[in-house]
Amino acid sequence: MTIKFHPAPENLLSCAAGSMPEALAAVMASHMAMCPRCRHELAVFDKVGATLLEEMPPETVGTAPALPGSAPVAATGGAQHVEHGDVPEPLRAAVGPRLDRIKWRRLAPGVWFHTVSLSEHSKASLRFIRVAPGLQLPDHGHSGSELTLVLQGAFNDAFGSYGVGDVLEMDEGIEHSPVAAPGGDCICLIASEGPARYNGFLARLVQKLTGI
Amino acid sequence: MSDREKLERIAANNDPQAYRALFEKFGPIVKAFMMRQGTDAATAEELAQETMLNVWRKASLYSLDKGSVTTWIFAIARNLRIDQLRKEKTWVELPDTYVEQASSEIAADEAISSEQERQKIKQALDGLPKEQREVVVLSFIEGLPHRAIAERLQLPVGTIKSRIRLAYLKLRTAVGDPDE
Ligand SMILES: [Zn+2]
Repeated sequence: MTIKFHPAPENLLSCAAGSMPEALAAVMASHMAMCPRCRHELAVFDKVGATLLEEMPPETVGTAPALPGSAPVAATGGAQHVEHGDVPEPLRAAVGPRLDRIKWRRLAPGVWFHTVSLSEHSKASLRFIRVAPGLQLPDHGHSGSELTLVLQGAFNDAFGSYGVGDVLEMDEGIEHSPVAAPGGDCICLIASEGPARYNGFLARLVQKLTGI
Repeated sequence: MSDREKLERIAANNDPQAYRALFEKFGPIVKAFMMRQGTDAATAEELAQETMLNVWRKASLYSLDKGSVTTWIFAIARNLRIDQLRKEKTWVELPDTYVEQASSEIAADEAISSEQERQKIKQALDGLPKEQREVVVLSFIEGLPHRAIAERLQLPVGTIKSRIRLAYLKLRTAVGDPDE
């Protein structure tokens, strides 16, 4: 897998800072699960966080509480539990390990989606979308920042050609009409900021596809 | 005794003295860090204690490839803050999730190089133009997303993003060129 499009620097920094809106952070974490380069970048910016933490003017704390009777966790010798699957590790708790076993809902002919639930107060949405090969999605605008990560197959738009692991960032107001590449279904994970129900990506898409 | 040695003592012997020493060093700054997300002192203290309890429990999982002890504690505190204060899912895992290869090569000079690196990062942070340092601090310390920073400073989101991007590139070169 050769990743051509990585997330923008400002998103990597915010990811390390722990300041990203939840839905966008899910896409970032999924990309990093697939991308050693960005894991390394994150590790560098964790150090920036550490340096800033050290500079905090200290607050008074009480004495260290009594330690729990339980002994610290024993080292596992690096043998981590690895499950096979094509769903990025961070999302497996939500949808399981395999893309083909996700509960897909049909949106229009050749287009399916699955919404991942976020915390109650989240103002963004996180969705898997699956598009049949060769299908072109109509022009659709974006109501807030949007982050897309390709998980399977590929798609093209006026800006480039995106394959597995690639991240596409769309800013507010930009329109594009992606075409799923021939071959298998194209599956992406998409985080959209803003009130998704009315202005979100899928709402616009449905409108365009069904003419409502 | 270095922080790393203290952590090793906790891992090897459940050494309560080593733990107390780490608690005294990090408890107060982690509490301050929690308060900057906008919580009261009592909650911040509980979260500082929980952060340190995680350090105790996970001491044996810590290894050289996770960066300095401070970096590891920062990541624990960052994730606790997302989970406990913002009540959001923490998607970005701690550095111990991925077992990276080639970690052995950094072992020998690690202590020296990580101190040098820390100094370089500190210098780079201090050398940032005021408006760039501001957005970095608002991100890391106040935990504000781009949009919230834009509202706070009454600037367009695009301006915030480009300031963070510039800061990123300067900070990044302090620890070697990005391998793109
Ligand atoms: Zn990447």
